[in-house]
Amino acid sequence: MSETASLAMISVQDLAFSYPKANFRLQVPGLKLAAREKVAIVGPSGTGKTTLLNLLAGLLIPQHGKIVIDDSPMTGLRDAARRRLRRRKLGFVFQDFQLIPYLTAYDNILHPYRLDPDARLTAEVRQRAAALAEAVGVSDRLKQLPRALSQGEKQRVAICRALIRSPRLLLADEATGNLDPENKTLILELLFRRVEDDGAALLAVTHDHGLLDRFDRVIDFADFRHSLNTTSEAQHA
Amino acid sequence: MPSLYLALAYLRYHWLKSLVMVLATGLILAVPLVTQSLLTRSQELMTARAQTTPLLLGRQGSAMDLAIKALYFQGQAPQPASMATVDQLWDTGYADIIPLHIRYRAGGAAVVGTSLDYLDFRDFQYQSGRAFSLIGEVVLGSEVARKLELAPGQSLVSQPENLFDLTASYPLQLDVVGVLEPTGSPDDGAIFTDIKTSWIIQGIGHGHDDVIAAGVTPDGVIVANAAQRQFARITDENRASFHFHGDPEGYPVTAVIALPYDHKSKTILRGLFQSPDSSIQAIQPAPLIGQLMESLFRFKAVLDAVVAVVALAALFALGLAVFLSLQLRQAEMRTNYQLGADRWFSLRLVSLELLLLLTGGVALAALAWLTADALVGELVVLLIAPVL
Amino acid sequence: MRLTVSVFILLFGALASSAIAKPLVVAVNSPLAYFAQRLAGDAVEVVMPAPEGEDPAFWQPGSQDIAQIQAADLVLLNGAGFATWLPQVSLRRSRLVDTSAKAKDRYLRGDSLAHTHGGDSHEHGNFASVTWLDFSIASLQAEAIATAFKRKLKLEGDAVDAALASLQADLAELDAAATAAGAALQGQAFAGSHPVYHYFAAAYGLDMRYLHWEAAETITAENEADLAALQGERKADIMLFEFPPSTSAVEAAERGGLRYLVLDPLVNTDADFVETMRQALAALRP
Repeated sequence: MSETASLAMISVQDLAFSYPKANFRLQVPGLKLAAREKVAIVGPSGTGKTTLLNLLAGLLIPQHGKIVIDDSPMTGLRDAARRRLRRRKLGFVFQDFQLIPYLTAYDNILHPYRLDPDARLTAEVRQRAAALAEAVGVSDRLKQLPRALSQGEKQRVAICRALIRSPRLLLADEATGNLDPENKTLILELLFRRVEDDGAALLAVTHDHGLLDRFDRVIDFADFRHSLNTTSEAQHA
Repeated sequence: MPSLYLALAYLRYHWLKSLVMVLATGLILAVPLVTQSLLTRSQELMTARAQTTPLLLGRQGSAMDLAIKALYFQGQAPQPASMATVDQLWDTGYADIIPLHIRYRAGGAAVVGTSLDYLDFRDFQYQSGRAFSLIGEVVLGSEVARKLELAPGQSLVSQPENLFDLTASYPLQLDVVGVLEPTGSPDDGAIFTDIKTSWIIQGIGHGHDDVIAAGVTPDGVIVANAAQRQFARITDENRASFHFHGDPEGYPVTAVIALPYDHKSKTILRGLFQSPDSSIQAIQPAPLIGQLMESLFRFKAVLDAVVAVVALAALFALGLAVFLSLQLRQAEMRTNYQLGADRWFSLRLVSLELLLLLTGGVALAALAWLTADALVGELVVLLIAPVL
Repeated sequence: MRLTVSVFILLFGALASSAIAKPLVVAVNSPLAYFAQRLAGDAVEVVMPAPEGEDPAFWQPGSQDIAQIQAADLVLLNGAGFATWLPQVSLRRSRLVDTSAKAKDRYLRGDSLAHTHGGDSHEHGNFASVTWLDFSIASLQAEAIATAFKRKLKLEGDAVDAALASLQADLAELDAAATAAGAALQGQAFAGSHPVYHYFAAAYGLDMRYLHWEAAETITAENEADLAALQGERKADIMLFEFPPSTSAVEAAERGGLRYLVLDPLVNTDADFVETMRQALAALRP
């Protein structure tokens, strides 16, 4: 592996994916994200933004190419290993929050620990959950079930859940889509701050063009539908 | 055990659904358990009752009717025998003889007209009060006293045999003088009195003011004044006016318990009534009730089959409920998958939930079973009696 | 030492309780009480519960009496409907002895009082009940008591049998005396002051009609009218009183043209039945 690659939090090489029955093909010749780098992906629907996130998360398997996350290859792994990698290195923030309806906000935040047979839900973890909730301003809502929370509160809880295991890569799919403008900014800043603090990388699919200037880089899928090969310098320019 | 935590959280969140499923499984499990327990216990009770009653005599007819009436105070009243039989039995000198007159009811309970010998024979203990000693006095079984909230010093009124029985039997006020300790037998649900009191209810004996003659018929019979009053209550003042009519040997008895002094006496007594033209039958309750229990257990087998079919249907319904709830949980399962849950996580979680529901159902069934077992004495009377 | 004391207590207790545990026998009238005492001697305690001066046939027991009767080990009944309280009281049949059961076919119809309720006619006081004045029935009654003592109280058989033989001999003697008196009184017509002589009259051949006179009290005009009616139908010669009659009764009888004799059935008395009866029967003979 090259020095540049080892410095990168995420490295994608020569990636190709197509849905077997649909007329769709995604090709990514190369993509790298460094620690603390915040990258936005924009582009019309159907251009493969979410597919890329799913490939990075190991939810889809590319026909060709290589994905490495924090020195761990995602491609070529068996399902169990991909799941483990997902638990340990990735954090997700979804457009519709995807909170577990029967768990309180607090238990939703702790949920990733309960999903992982190797992780222990220690007092320290609980402290961190409380601290995260405090940091995003929902510490007084922890005992509530999701149905009692506002949209903004739900997304903050979802962010806490995504961050609780200190992921190396944070994937956000339209994370601000369902929020009002004030909350959009707030949530995004929260995400940015956590990424900075944890030394993680953020890859966010978004339609909010008003927010794009806050990202380090923006990748437009409209331009790179069939050959995506970008570096941070190229996009910045 | 994080899965347990999540399973409990899910069940708590869907508490109504969980409750219904626990109740449903509990019910499916409880029905055969409770019926089994009831039947076993009722078999014990009924058999014990039959075994402690060595010999029963009554008018020739259905032996089963006679046994059920005399032992459990239930069912069809057999044709009555007469006191002549009682006297005849005493005269044999082979047994102590206890007459039973079981025809009327008071406060919903059977009025058992008998002699003090019955109270001795069943070895009754008294919660309060004493044995009956005068006509009109009654002793209540513990259940009767509890249900009707009666104590010595209070009274209840006998009921006519049926709505159209306007002639012979007349409502008699019965004075409670004693309440029995519970015995766990049909005696708890009966009212005991002297057989003479039963005869008074039947109209064989009665009391009235001294005869006020309204005239004399040509054959010398004094016609009593129509204003003459029949007492609905036997008091210290009018007790002496109570008297009986006709030949005492002809007074009716529903059944007669014979307590032979030894095995030989029992054999001889049975032999006395074995001829086919005897108007009296002598039966041994134990083998007879044994037969009855056999048929009850055959009935239980049918019941079990029905319960099995219902249980199967219920299981299908529960399966459907589980399947539908899994459909509704697709999003949750998907989220767990995206968050990296292992392949078996959802299966584990759902299985654990089902296990918890099943445990709840089993606990409920066990509770029902234990409760039924504790209350079985009463339940047997409630559930089995109508079957008889 | 302690052992000796407990053995002593045990023995003493056993003795004391055996003394207390003497069987209690209740008899419904004095003749039966007399028979019972003759047959069992000290082995039983015999009680006739009706107080002095009360007719045991019509007496009503109080709750104390009933308790005592129910507690008895044996209750000797006379049979033939004697004792009007019997139908009102609950007794253990296993402890009852119907002493005249073997003489059931010899029961006599009494002076009846009939009435009807609407169309339903019935009679009261079906049977005359002074059975023991037929001394052969009295003998059967004694025998029934003896049998019950042996069977139910488990008294020593030989002693009871010996006592029975002696009693029955006495009763046979009374029977002979009564037969003799009856023979001596043949041809005379009797009026009984009370209907108590049915068995006596039937057994010993007396021609007897009855009045309802209270012998100890003043005779009323109604009493005299009854007597006149009786005399009008069939002239009686002798009036038989249960007790020595009052002067008023004697005079009334004489006005009716009767002389009088006394035969006490001894239904409630502490007197010796055989001895008293022997003297009474002797006094009947002219």
